[in-house]
Amino acid sequence: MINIIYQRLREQFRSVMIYAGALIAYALLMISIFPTIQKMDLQALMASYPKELAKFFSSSGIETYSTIEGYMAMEYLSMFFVIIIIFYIGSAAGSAIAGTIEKRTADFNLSQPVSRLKLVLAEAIVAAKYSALIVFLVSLSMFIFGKIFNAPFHIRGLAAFTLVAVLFLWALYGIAIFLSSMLRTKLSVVLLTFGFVLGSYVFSSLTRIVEKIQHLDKISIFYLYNPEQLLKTGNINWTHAGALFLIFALGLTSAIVIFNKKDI
Amino acid sequence: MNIIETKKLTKYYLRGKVLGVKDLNLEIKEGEIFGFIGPNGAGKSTTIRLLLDFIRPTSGSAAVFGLDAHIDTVQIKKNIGYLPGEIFLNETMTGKDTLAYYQGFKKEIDKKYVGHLVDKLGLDLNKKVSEYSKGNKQKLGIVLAVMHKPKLLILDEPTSGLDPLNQQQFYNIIAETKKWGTTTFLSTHILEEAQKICDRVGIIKNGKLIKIEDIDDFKQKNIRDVVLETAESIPLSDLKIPGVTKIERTTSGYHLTTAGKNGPIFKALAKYKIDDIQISEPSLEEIFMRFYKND
Repeated sequence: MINIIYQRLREQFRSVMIYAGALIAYALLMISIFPTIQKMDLQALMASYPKELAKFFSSSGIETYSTIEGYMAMEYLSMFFVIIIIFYIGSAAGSAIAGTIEKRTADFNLSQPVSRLKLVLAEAIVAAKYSALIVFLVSLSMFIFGKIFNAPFHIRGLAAFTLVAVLFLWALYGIAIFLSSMLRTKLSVVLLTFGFVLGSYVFSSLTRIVEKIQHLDKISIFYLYNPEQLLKTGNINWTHAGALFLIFALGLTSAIVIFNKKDI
Repeated sequence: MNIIETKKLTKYYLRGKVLGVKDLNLEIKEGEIFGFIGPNGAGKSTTIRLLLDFIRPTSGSAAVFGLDAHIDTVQIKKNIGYLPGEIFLNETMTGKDTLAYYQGFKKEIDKKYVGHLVDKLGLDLNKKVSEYSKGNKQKLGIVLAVMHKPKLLILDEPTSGLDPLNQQQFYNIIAETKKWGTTTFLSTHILEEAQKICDRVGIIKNGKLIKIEDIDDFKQKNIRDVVLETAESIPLSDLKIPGVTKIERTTSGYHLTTAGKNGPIFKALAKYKIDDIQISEPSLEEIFMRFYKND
């Protein structure tokens, strides 16, 4: 199993660094323009827009922009960050099962003295490790850029965000690896995971502006991931964190069970 | 002890719509090279995939080294070397990395033997797998299959990507493995290959095992297509000799299918002016039609 983990870590290192680099560069861009954003009369600007528009992106409206935490949560961490990283998550999960069957590399791997359980676990460990690394690097860069541009983050908030963001990405990996055990191609796993994340985000946003469906906000996985609240308060809702870990564990377990029963 | 033993092993695909193999009973003895012969779609690969636990049987059982092919698959695979007809490996790795990666699954590797195999096959391990030709990928597959000196080799049409020279090298390597007691289960649709290296053969067609024969009995059949080019008209009575199973008149002469030794045929033809003779191996389907249609 160690050799699988070592090999996958080597294989994915470059792409992980590219994802991390792109996310850090975007974080730098967003934080560097925050002082300018603060000088703008956002109240007047937003007044000219329908109030639903602001609510669509954040529950607390335009006030969100008054702090670096709110601003980064709204402009970066709620969606852009997730959308970019989901391609890594989807791709890693897609390669783990569906991709190996599609490329027919699964045959030779399964002819080795290693169980299907260990094959999937090794892939999951690598994805979990790298998604945690990406979140950590992004958080660290936000902390450093915040200092540089006189918009410091609360360390406690950043730490809370880092932990929950990691769990959130693991949960998404759980969903993606489950899809990978069901679907036939890596691309279909990536696209379906992306569709799920986007759909969940849009639904979560809609629950804020459409009263009729407000009570359904818990359906979306984004209900469990609130970067604005995490960054501002530094308080972790442990029920939500536990639920995210449970999604990861359930997705991974289901994927292992399905893969174990699958004809290759 | 039988190295491989299957009892009424049956596999249907697509919820029973497509038959893979049915009621397969096999007993492969220790140290033998067993050829599993059949045309494409006969069920050869299905059997191998069942033995390797890639797929699960609809009914029946399969045991390798006396262990259950599904439950004890990890234990079994410690002593198995597998080579498919076309090997699919991680294309981003070099040959060297690939060897190191798969060596990571084995306990003991004789590096000297690996070096000997690499030299024998003339393999450049510094290239990436994506840069390898089909033949070179297959050579790498051979090294990966035998590097740990397995007790059982499972080979699924292994020479399909190899040129004749490397095929011979491959046969030499198989002969070498036999010396230290390795059992080989070889699926092939090439009769010559089976005749060259196997001790026994199993004939499979449409998912059913038709017959198991010793290689000597199988060789006795010596089934051949004989194409005669001649302007002369040869009376059928002169061609109806023991061993000739089919006679066809063609535009340029005659087409015969023969079995056994061809001496009597040449003797009968000696009095005619024959322009050319071509002798080849007929297709497996044709052989089955001739010899195994009633089995």
